[in-house]
Amino acid sequence: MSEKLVIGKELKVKYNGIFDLPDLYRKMKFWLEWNGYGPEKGMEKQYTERIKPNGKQIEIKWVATDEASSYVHKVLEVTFLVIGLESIEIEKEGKKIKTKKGDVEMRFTGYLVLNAGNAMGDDLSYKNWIYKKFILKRNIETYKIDMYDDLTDFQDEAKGYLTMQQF
Amino acid sequence: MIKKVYKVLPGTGIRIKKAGIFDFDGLYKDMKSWFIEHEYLFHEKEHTEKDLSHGREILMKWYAEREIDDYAKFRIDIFFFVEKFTRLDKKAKAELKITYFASVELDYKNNWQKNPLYKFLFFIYNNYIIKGRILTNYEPKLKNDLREIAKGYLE
Repeated sequence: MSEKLVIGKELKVKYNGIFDLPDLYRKMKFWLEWNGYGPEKGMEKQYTERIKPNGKQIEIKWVATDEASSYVHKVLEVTFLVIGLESIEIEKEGKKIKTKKGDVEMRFTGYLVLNAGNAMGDDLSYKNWIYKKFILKRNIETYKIDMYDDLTDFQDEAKGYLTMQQF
Repeated sequence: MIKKVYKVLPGTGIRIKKAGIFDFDGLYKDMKSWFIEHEYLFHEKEHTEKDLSHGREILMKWYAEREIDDYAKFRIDIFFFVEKFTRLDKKAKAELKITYFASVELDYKNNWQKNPLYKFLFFIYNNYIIKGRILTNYEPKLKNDLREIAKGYLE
């Protein structure tokens, strides 16, 4: 069985104001693809749209995997919850532009999956034990740092798009 | 009595208020760098921004953890509440409230939480055997880290 090593769990980014959801969606998806996370199809586990009296409500969940090696996979999970999304018109440089306004909450989780797909047999197998104890031990810190960097960069990408404070 | 999570600051934490013009970008980036340089694992647990009529409102919750040895781990939580935030060239004008919380988590690997006997031994160990180490080693070290953060970026 594979083992999950959580690096960061449910880190929230919330924004209330004007934003272009389709553009945010595209930018975030592009970041994942550019950084080797996939698969392009099947990454989206949920997409729900509801019409509510105060505007549209949208829920999206992505689970994106980077197969860092046959033994270690890096996984980024993100959920979007958009509420009260309504169309508005703003004036920019003398021109009227149609855009959207609402509340968006994104939750980011990043973890490593060890022995992904039981590459080294089950947990009790000697192959898995030897691999974990002697070979992976040297590299696991690098994978953890990589995962941490990806998680914070991905979180920063969303904040940057929403003109929020970034690191 | 020393519990599993030993708080080194009062329950309500330490609060710092600042209003006026200051380098918010610098404060934001440098504080994170400080944690990374001092081997803390840093996370921004929550980041909320709202555009209001009197300026932007920002709420941030950070936590950072550092494993001191196999038994103890430091944890620092920082909450930022920024009101009336407006950008002025490279600086920002705002009202800033920062609250710090700090604690030492003992037996963070949960080796002594398996059954009531282990838990009893854990209690004896913390309150009689290594109490001195906790009070004279861990606590001042963590307080010193907090002092550095506050001194470097807020004074």
